[in-house]
Amino acid sequence: MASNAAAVGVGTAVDERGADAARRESERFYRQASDAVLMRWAAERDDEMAFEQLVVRYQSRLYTLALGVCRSPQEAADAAQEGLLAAWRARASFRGESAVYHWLCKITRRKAIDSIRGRERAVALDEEAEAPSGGDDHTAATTLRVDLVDALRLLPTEFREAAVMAYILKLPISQIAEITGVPENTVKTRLFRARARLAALLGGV
Amino acid sequence: VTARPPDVHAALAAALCELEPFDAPAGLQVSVMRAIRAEQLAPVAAEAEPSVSLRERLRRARERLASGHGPPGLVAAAATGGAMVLGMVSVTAIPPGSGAPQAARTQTAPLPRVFTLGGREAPDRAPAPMGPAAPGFRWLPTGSAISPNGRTIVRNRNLLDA
Repeated sequence: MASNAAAVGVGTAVDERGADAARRESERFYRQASDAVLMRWAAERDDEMAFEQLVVRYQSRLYTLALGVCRSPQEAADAAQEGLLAAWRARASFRGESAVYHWLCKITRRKAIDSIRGRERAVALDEEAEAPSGGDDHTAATTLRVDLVDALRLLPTEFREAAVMAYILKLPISQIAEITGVPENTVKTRLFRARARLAALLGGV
Repeated sequence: VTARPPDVHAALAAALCELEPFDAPAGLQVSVMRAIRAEQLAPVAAEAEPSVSLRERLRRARERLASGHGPPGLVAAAATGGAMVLGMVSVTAIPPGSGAPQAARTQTAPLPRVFTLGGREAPDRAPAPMGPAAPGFRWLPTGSAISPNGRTIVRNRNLLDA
């Protein structure tokens, strides 16, 4: 309601140049709105532009999260899409008890897990997986990045998603625990084991 | 010099922290919003009962809009006689392996015909700009218009091109 009230206050019958300026102003208006406000507009007014702003804001992070579960980029993209669609459908049920971003993370993670379960890909990885190899023409930093990404892919799902959430998405332990539905100590243990496994895969760094 | 295990872990954590979130594939945002808009049309399609006249369908649509409910496409339908609603979603075939998410790749089937005009199927595409915006509609800074009751936004450029 607030969005339209503000928008109507600004908008009047204007010429094309005025409309362009007004459009830019509106885009700025949405860009600057908080997650909670955007979610409220989406829920109460079916405001697609508000929801689209949330998609723009978080699609890469949700994709990264899905990649942390699925491993395959294509599957992760599908899971991220399914998660965002599910969030749109469930927008009216969002109560603001957690941050919008964390709510989106939870839904996307669930979709990603459904995806790997549905395709029978939730297979425990071989603990003695081969260490990945880097390209010869890479710089040292790029090689390390490639190695890290490859090594991450070789971790078991629960370790990988914990590492992705903690280190790449920089979510606090408490939020990872909430999203994954396990105690904080379990998250810490998974992170420790993920680091140990990565260290082994990368040959001690 | 061999790093002690805690140092290895710290180094790993620091290296991992330097990884930015991976870029979402091109087209993810578009495919999400396209699927949302297609879903928005579903209630309209459900209303398109053969036994109900177009006039009656539009009356129902206006009633729903007046109560502040219903997809934005209905406003366009009400204002333009029905065909415009089909222009709200454009379906593009995107080949597998292009990096586009699943829905964008698979939404190649035509959308359901929502309204019929004079016994003919409505066109697949939105008609050319139809002249002045419907009476009573007001500009919004979103590049959209707001309906006469002030409660529903129409996001359809064709309606707004005066």
